[in-house]
Amino acid sequence: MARILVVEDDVETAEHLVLSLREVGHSVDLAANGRDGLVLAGSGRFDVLIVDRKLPGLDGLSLVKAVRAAGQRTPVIFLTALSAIADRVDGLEGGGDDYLVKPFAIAELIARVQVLARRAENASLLTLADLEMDLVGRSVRRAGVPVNLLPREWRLLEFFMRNAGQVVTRAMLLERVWGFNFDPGTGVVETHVSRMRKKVDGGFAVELLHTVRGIGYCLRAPD
Amino acid sequence: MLRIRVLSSLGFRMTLLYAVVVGVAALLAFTVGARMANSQITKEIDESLADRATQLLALGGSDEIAASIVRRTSEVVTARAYFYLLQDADGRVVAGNIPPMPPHAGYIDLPLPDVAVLRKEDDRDDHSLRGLGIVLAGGSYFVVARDIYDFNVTKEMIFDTYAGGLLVTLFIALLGAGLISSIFMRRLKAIERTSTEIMAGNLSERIPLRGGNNEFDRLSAHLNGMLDLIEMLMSNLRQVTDDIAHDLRTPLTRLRQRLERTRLHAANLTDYETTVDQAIRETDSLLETFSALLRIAEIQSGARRGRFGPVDLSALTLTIVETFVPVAEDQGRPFDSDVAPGIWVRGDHDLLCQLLANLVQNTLTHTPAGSGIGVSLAPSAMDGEAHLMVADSGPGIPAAERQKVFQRFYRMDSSRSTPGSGLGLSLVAAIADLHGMRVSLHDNGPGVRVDIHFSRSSCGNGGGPNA
Repeated sequence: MARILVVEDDVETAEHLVLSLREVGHSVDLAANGRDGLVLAGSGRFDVLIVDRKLPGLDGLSLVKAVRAAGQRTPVIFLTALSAIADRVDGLEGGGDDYLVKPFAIAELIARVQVLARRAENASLLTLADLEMDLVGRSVRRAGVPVNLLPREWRLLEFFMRNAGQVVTRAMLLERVWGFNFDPGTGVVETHVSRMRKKVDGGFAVELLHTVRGIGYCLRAPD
Repeated sequence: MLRIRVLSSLGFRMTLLYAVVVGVAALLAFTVGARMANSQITKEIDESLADRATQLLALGGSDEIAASIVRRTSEVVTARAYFYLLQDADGRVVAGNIPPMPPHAGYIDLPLPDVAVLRKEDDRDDHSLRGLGIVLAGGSYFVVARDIYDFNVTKEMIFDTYAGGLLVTLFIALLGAGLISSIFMRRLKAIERTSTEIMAGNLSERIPLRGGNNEFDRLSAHLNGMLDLIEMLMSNLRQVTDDIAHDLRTPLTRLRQRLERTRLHAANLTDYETTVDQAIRETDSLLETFSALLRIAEIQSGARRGRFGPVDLSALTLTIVETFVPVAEDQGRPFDSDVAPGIWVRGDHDLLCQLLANLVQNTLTHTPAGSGIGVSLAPSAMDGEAHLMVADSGPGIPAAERQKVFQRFYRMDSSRSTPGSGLGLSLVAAIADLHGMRVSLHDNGPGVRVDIHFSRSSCGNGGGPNA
């Protein structure tokens, strides 16, 4: 699967990350400080960089800025214990593609790595099994039957389609579909997803959208 | 000691510098003026000498001139009169009362001849002659001269007056410098005293104001404002620490007890798994509370104001409504919304989103299924203001508790059983405060109405940031 570089100085966290990512099949390299991280990241052989914000030697933000300045577009996930909202903005403006505040559930990180490792292409027609989504014509069909979606449901489905086969977490949906960087409370994501699901899967023998317990959802074609 | 401090004070130095500048300017003005007056008077004297010489020359040859000179100098010569000299080609005096001299054609300065009789009060040093020498045909030399005592005395008087004036100016400047620096020092001393008090731990100390609108009062008012903010932040910090101590300890204790009990009494793996799952859930909720606390503290620090921009509150409100309507519908709640378009505010989009989401979520959590929810956004009757309202038809909040619900960790007895950290409304209050919005709770008969009043951004006018 993906080749991942973890730049993290805390030994226990680093070990936890490396083991968990290897367990799901990624090949993982580890750098314990910013300078080593920059040298390894500069080689350009990774699909995703996981970078801690606070590192000895060279801090994570400077590392990513240096990598970006060198013209590399490798996706970056920042990890941080800094929960201040301003830091998040700095991280994303500094070249990060995603931002996770410690502590986080490992499933959340794995889901985000999968999504970043397989950047969705810019197709105008998304298809999955018998589900078709025409982004230009603004229409959705399941087995040829038109499906009417509300704007929010449309954006949900588009996100699922673009990340078909990947696990998508609640927090990811809130960030990408709503633009919320906070949890508006239980029920919001579930309600909207269940309404969308009723329109897309309702009445069909094969379910495409699956709930991943305790983590989120996964839209995938039947085996 | 005090003298040295006065001399080194900035006020003193500035005033002194000012006095020096004024002195130099006066000196320059005097020099130019004196020079101009000097040349004017000299010109007049020279003209009168030329007139007199012309008169005498008009008489004819040297004999006629000599006769005229003899006549004119026959009386006692007093100072301030005209003086004459006619000498032959060999330098011998033919007539006149000026000692002979080597001939020099043109204007000359001469000492007062000894023959001149002075007035008793006059000083010989003040007298001198200005003369016009003319070389006649045949080599004889003729001089007409005038005592310029008055001119000399006037010059001296001007100089004396100026020197005295300068001395007085400098003296007054010095006095003023001392006075001004002592005023400066008195005001600075007051600030120094206050900061010493504050450093000693008395945070409520403030710099006294004199009630004027001078630089010192303005600076002091500014410093006092800063001190108010610091004191507020300090007390906030203390409050947060107390809150954490009180409200996080309970769940942590519970968590510890559960782990301990499982360690001692667990019979099988399932027991362990159940406890670990439970522990993870509790830790998550603790962490959530913790980050909510940090977020409130960050908002209260005001640092986020630096990232304020124009926010389309109408669009934002519609997003929240659109997000929560399905949730309310599923719980069988009527959801009314009335959002006026084009209401813009200066603020932080993310935080305003969270404010509104928290208020709506709050009504969903704290009212029984079936109670209605209403959200409205409208311009106020007052110009430039707008009014955001979130209301429900639930059980309401007793008047006595309405202010307390904004406090951290405050939970009404009736809501102890519902999930939540007790931080939702403190976060709302912090965000509103950051944006200068006024939040109030009212009886909605039945239910609660949250009113938020705020001033609309000037970039509104129904258009947008570019309108």
